[in-house]
Amino acid sequence: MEKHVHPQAVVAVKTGRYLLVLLLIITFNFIIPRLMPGDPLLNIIGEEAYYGAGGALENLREDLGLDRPLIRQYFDYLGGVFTGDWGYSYLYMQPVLAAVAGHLGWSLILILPAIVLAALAGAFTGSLAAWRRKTRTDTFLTGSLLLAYSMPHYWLAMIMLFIFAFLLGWFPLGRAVSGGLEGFACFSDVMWHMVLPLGVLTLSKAAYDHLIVRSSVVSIIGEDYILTAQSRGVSAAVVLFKHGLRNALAPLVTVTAIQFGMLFSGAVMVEVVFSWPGMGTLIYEAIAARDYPLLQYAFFIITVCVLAANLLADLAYRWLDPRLR
Amino acid sequence: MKIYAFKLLIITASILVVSLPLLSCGSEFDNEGGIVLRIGSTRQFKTTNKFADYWYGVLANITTHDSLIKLDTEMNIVPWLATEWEISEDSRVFTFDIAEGARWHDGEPLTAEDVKFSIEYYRDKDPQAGWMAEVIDSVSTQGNRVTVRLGKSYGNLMMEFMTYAIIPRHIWYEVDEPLKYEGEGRAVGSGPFRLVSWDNAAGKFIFEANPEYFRGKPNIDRLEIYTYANMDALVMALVRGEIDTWWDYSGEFPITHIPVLEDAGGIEFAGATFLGVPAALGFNLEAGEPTSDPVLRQAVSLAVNYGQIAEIVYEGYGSVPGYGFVPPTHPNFDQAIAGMEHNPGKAAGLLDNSGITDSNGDGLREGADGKNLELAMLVRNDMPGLMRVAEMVAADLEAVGIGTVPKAVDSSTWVAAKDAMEYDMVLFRATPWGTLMHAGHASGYFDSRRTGAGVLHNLAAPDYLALCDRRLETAPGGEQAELDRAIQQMHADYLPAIALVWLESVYPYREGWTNWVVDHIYGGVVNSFSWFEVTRVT
Repeated sequence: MEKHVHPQAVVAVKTGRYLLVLLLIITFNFIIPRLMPGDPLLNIIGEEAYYGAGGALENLREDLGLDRPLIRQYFDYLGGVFTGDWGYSYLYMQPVLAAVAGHLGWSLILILPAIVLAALAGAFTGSLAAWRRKTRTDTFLTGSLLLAYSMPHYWLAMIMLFIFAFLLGWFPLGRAVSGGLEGFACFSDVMWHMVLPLGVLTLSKAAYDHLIVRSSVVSIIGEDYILTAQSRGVSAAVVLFKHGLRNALAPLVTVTAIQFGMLFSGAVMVEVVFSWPGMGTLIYEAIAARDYPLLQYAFFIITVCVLAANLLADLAYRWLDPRLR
Repeated sequence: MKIYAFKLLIITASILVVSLPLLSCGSEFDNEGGIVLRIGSTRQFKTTNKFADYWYGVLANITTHDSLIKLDTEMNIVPWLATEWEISEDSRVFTFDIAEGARWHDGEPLTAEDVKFSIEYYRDKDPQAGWMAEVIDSVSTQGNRVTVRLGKSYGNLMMEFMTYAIIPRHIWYEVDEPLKYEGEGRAVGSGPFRLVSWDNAAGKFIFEANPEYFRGKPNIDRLEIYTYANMDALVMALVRGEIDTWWDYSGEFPITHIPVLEDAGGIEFAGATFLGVPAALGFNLEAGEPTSDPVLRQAVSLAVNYGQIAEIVYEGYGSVPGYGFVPPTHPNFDQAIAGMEHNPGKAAGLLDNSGITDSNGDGLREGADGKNLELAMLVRNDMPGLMRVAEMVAADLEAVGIGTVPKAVDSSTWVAAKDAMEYDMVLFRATPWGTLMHAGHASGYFDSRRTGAGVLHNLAAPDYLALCDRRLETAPGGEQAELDRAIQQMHADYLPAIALVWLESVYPYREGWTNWVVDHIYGGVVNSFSWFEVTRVT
């Protein structure tokens, strides 16, 4: 007799596990930046400043709390995570929350649509390629997406920037907005700026999703229930997208959750090419500047997003596969 | 599967994508009237507080703010907010007469009290101005005259003051933490332009001409500065006419992009000898280190193929440097000091005669400990040009039997390793302002008593330190020329570092603009002087 586990208990247990992982990652987020050699204060005062005199540097160190023992800094940081006092960014010289907020918004504007569009496109093309495997449709779809997948993101981004922005002039050469616009004008301006970077991220991710879904659907097409549906005269589209794809979605859900975190950091090259003010660029600059508070909380945000995505994926599994309920 | 539905989906999506450009509302490049100069830069700005953002501070110095004096194209100190000055013979008392009629952008008059306040504020609250605490004792005013009294002789004060903008007392006097101030008025200055807006998402600054500027209204009515995260996009924008020119303080325009601009047409170039040294090789002079041996340093200097570096990495825009380190654009440049010599045979002979030989025939000479001589070379990996130079230098040294291990690290790691002397050789660059610091002629990089993120502080020879002190004590003019030449000679004698190339800097701009002034300090054609000279040819 199978032991029945209450669904709410399952959610509670999973959530508890994720919170434990979060706590461990928070600790690593504190330790890892401090393992890097270099003094964050030197980045503040610049390359040419003579900092040996007057104690100004030591005053700044004290002001930013860098003279305190590491363990004290850790508990200050831990407390700040839960109270919302995220400290001061050395690089931006403003509260970390303010420094991160703008960049996070711009990253999400790119990443969320990219994830959704890539998943939809990859699911569609992967299913179609699997259904028509070893035909010209499969060869064309899989071959071209494999080509896109094999290209580094930044290379693809440079090609698109060169062709569509520079040669054709259809899209801007970078940045997120033109500036000075409001309302619908601003919204459409953002859409216009988004096309190329979103296209690159979507294409790169869709290529991978295509391969995952194709592989998964191929393994399902031979199942008895698919044959049964076909023999009952169900249309090919319904067989593929209702019966086949739904059962092949689990790997796609897993991959999407994993890629959520990768997209934050992986988008940095795309952000540089398109001068997009996202989290990738922020993290890269924070690493170079040894901006501990900014790094700690930027990683914290990414951690929360990734864990949340994985938790949702776990829960979505149960919805997708009734056998897990 | 209904194929026509799939095709319909593809066609609809294509139409949507193609029509998206139509959503853009007007061109950001429409001329709104008046002369608009659009400048591109790859510098990334964080805030419009000049204390908190080093790069915005530099930009503010040429747009919204004024300093007491400036350096003109001939490297002469010229009046700016200070119309006249007097320096005591012992270089301990500096007196400045402040210009009449200067006003802050909010309409308040700029007075001697603002100058006094600014100097004291920098001295007491700005970490970048730590040297002032050692040097400046007191500041007093009388009418429009400001007197600065120093605790010790410091003849270079005028040069240092060039980079410190005067700030409004009525805005900053209540600000205890200037680095964190985000309040109103932080961008208020007295300069030829007022900051109108800064949009980080758009990567765009807008400045408007100050019609009441005390030196007269600039020729440019409006400045628009566009930031790009990569140089390729900036060059594309220049070719397409979306920007008119490029600006970077202390940086060199990438040589590799020049052919693209030449082929594109519509681009002209201004040029000048770069005041800094774009690539130099420093040595660890600590006793016991292999590079503390002057014979080894001399051999290294003879092994490097400077002409090849100038031709290959700098594509002909570089030239063979001299042993004095700084290029001829520096005042009191000593032409008698020889140019760097590439002579691998002579290098090998020097090493053989000093006992540094390859006794086991493996191609590498052995050091005093009997092991293969392999020198660690620290290189910053955020400067692509320096990586190429490092590879070439390593090959040149290996050709004379000196092994080299380049260690490419990011800038923060580079600074930490450099300050801890964890290197035998270090590849670095000397910026224009950096070469003027301290006692001038790059002494700020080598004087062992100085500290700074970019400096080597590796030369502790007593006669060198005494010479630097004497130069610092000497007022402008007179003996300074002789001391400047002596400093250059000491660089040639001690070889704390060798310049690897001097550079003819190139500053591109779109045709239709004329009368640019090239400023050695602030990076090319975008500077305080150009605002009053440049014109647009219609």
